[in-house]
Amino acid sequence: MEQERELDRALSQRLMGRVTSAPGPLAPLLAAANALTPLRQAAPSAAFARELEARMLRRARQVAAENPTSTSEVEPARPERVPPSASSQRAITGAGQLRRTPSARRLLWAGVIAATLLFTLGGVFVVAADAQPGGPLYGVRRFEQNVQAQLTTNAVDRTQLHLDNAAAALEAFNTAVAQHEHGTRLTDALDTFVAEHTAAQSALADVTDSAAHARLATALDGQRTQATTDLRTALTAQDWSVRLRITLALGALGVAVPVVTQVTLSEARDPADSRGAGRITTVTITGQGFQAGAQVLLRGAPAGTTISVSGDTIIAQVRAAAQAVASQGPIAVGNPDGTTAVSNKDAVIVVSSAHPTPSAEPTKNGDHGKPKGTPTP
Amino acid sequence: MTWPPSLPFETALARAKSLDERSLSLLYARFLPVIYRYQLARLGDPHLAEDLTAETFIAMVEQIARARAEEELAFAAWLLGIARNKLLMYFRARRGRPAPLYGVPDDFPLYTRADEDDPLAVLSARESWGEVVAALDELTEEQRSVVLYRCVLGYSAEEVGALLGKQAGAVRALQFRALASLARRLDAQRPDLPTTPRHAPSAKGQTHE
Repeated sequence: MEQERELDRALSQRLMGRVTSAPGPLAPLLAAANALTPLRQAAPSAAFARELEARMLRRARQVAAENPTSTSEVEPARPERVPPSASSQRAITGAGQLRRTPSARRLLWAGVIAATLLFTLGGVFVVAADAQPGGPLYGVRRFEQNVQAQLTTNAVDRTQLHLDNAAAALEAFNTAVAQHEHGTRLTDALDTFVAEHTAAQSALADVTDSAAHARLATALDGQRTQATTDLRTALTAQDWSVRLRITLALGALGVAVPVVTQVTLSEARDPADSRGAGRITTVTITGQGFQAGAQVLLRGAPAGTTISVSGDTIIAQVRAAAQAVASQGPIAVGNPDGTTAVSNKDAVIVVSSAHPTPSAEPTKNGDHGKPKGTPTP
Repeated sequence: MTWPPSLPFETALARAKSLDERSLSLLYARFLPVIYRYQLARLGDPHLAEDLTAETFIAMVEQIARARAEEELAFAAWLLGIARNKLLMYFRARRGRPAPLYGVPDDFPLYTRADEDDPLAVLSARESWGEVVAALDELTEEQRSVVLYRCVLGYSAEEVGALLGKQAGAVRALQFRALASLARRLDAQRPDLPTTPRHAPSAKGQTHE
């Protein structure tokens, strides 16, 4: 007990910046606490802090707009359970009058709740009809759109409906891009556009009237051309994760986009490190659609030195251990036009151990010769 | 944003519950390092820590009107509760998947700010946090909370007790055991620690709360 208090006192001193000598048995414990010092001093980047504050305040404005009257309300207190009084227990027993027994009261409440739910649900559907991508009721609106499409039996009308929905979603996407919105407003709009445009293509196959077919096919082509232009324009302004989604959307429209099929990480000693402890990892990405000037991306940022690029292979070197590169997160390729492709989680292979082997001598190339260890998916 | 000396925390909190932007910014400035350090200590990855910090503060503005906290420590406990929930959701989503995450695009987090950062700096940061975070992961949930709140977030034993619903004496006992355990686990990597019996590397995987 006394040791625990003493440790706590010594910790308090250290947290206040006063270093005191600790008795022998406590020294290792204080040293362990000291190991946490870097964490105690860690801080997010200033750019992140600014961006998050702006996002948070934007969200606060949205919440305030969604609940104009409830923002200052505290959670309502649970109604107190009042013991039944003689008067409340008095049953109404006259002819045609309801006897308010406990079960009757429960029925009454159930009726009230059911009516309220029906009313609320109806209200939600009415309000959701105008919900915009990223809004809290947008999922309900999409549900309504899907139901409406399924209930439309005429193939011409159904194709036109999907085309209209896709056009509205593309417009919402362009607005979000123009307003530098990177959140769900943009991604909801993009996902809806792809889903509706694809559904329009499928519905067109059921149109038998040749004139209507030709008209809708022209409209579909026009929408695809317009969307390709809009999405390519958006690629230049968005951060990586959004660029990735846009690239996938372009692929869904039939545009040639990069695809990663495999990533191989091969580790070797870093010849530039005279101590022999440094590691250099050769990242080889195979796939298709890589453009001249493409780069390897780690978590969306260009990394390492590009050694070579061809249409189906890109090779780069990163000064870090292979396991550290692998654990960094998604390994991707970024084309100069902004399109990007990422490795599938099963497509990354580490072909050599991250740990140095004391007896292994680097070859002329600076590597260990034959790769060690088993491939790690 | 600097906290005005004349402004009581309770007043700022009450205004923030009405979504007053200046009060929200004040709370944000005060608690950003707390939440970020909490997430970083559990994740070891600055990018992930930023992502979950962002989710925590967005959830804060969405739920603050319903928060019952009226003073600073209760608010800290409430906010750290949100941070912990976000962390649990992250670990739950990751469960059953091989680490690291490559899964894209369904579950890939938006709002990466990777374009602004140097990935090699991130790599070295990850390596340096790694051993401390791994050692923290080996502690029990209670021990880990006490060490994080006391040694990383800087709360006193009494405050940690209030945050976790324990007596200060119980917090000090947990703290003692936690730091002893941490010392043993860091022993192998930390030359500044006195020699204690070396433990064989644990075969146990990461135990995420």
